[in-house]
Amino acid sequence: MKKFFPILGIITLALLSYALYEALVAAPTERTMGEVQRIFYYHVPSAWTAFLLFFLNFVASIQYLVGRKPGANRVANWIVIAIAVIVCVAAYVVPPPEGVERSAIATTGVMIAGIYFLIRKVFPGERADILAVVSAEVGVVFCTVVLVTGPLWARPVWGIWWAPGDIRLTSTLVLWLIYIAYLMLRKFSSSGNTALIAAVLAVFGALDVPLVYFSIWFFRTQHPQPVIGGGGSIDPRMMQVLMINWLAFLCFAYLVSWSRYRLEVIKREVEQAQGMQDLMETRAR
Amino acid sequence: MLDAYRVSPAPANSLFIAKALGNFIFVCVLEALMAPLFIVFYNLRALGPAYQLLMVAPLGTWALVVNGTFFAALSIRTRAREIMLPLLLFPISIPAILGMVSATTAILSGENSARFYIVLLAVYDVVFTIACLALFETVLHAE
Repeated sequence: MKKFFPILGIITLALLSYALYEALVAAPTERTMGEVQRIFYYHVPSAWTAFLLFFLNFVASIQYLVGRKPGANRVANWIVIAIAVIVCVAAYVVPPPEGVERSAIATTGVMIAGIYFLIRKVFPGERADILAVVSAEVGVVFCTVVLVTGPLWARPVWGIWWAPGDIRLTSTLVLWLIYIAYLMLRKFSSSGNTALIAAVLAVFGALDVPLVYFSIWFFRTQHPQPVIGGGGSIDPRMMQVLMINWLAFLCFAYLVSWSRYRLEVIKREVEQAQGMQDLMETRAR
Repeated sequence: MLDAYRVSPAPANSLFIAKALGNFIFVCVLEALMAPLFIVFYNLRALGPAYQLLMVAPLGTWALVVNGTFFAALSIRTRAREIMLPLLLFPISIPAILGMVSATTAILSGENSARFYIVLLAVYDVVFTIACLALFETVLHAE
């Protein structure tokens, strides 16, 4: 696996440069907003990447919590399967929100279950906790990018930096605050129970955000409608550039997460070895 | 004190519910005393249906209290616990605070219906009460 790291690095670098060229030069200029609209190619992919990472953090935290008890593990498996089935059935029974495809909802349901079982397979036990740390840290970085680029765009277009009370802006800020609190908690909890307490907080945070986020379907917000599944329309060429940028950002996030993951694994191994050594020395004395 | 509870055979959730209910009643009494004073001194008059405030107040109080109790138990397990409690509790409570403020604004100004916010508060209460009950034992016995 190690020798793939430089290859992935080169691919990411090439993709990021190409995406930069596409976003700043090749993409058509927006008619009303002009050049400032190009920040969209950084804002939206960062947001998607951050949401994906926070979702991974949530799944990993659940895994860590239920992985400690075999009974809970079995129950959780069935709940995940049940959720996937319910989402699929509901997608075709309940009338979907405007602009959302039925098949997209069903696919999302199946994918959530798929990601859950994939993570369970690849990151068992302690590894789930490491994945949770890594995804939270990298996710906070991307979420910060979203919160910085958003106001930069809003100032010339809306005339204000921040729309207080806007539900999409608030939900992203809440998300960011929760994960800052999460990282602080990891820093400040006594060493033995960090993973457990952090996992509990991650579950609470993940319950919190959908509550705010899904209320955008009931409110009119100042924020532009989501490009996918929200009735917003976009030029096909712009969509292409957006997707290239997202791919580049995903690669970059993967690269960073990978090195951070290795670092955390090594750090824990060293700590464990140190603990063993201390134990041996006390015994010898 | 908490260590005594931890070694007792009583279920963790009954401790949690007792604590949460105790806090809830305490805050409710305080609200019942404060609300008339606020109404008198700020000369408040509800332009919307005022009876809905009787739903918003207990739902909002429970939303704050249930998470407050849970995170109090959680933050004991950390260093610098006085700092950690508000830091953890505030982001989690933002949806509830938004719901309470918006519902009260809607009722007092009478401009739009508060029903959506009341439902939001109720959903928040149900979701987080279940989450607290499901995870409290884990937090109480965390080592």
